[in-house]
Amino acid sequence: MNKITIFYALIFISVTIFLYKGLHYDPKKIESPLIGKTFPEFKLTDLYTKDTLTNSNFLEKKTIVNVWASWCLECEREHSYLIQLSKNKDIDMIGINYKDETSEAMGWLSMRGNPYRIIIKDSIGDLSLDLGVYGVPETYILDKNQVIQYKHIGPINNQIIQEEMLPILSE
Amino acid sequence: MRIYHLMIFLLISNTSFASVDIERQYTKLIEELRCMVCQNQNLAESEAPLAVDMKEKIRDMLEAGKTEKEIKSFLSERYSSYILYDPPVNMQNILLWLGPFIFIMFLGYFLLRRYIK
Repeated sequence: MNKITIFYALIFISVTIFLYKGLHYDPKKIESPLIGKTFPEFKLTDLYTKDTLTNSNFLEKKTIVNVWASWCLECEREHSYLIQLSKNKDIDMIGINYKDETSEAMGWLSMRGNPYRIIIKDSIGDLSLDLGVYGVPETYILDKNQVIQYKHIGPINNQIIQEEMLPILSE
Repeated sequence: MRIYHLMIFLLISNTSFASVDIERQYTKLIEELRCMVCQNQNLAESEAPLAVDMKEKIRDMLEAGKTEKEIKSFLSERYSSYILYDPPVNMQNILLWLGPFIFIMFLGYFLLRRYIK
């Protein structure tokens, strides 16, 4: 074996490792550039009360913001976990109803339970665009100063709650 | 017939821009931005709801006098530089930018050595 053979073997091995890793990489998971930034300013209405909601409606505690819609099938899958999380009184939970019909959203929640303290109605998707939402459902964790600490795209499950969310929530 | 007129009106009103210049900027921008839902398409090709929203936002921003650079940074601040088809060089992707050149230099070196021998 001469040097050249070793050299080619090294190239082959490193490219193989590189490509193999790529097989397990999900291109849909993009780190949000909004982490560490403050939640965008908004002025929208509440789904139920039609009251105006702004950033001042957030409470000074850890907040889970969940983007959902009644037409979103994956939202159904994560709903029981959100209900479970909402029982924790140290956490505030806010929903963003993304591009939905009010009556359908209300019907959806009355059948499955409402885990949210308030629901921001984002019918044109303006706030969600500002938040960088592209795959409903999405879940964010904000600290008490409304700084975004965590983002998850797609439905949450027990493993994500235990391994990723609870450590941030209990900080 | 009236409906026909209405359809034509809607078609025209939907594509009308404040100026030809804005339209040109718009067409250029939506070709350089990625659709986040259907990741191998650009915004111009995509009719996904999010892409349609983004195009509307871009048009609004252009008409409000925002520059191409401002719009690109607005979107990449929210959707990461992944949304740009021509991402800026930074520490994360420097190897991807320089990799081919390093490879060619190595190759050249080996070929030259063999040639000289």
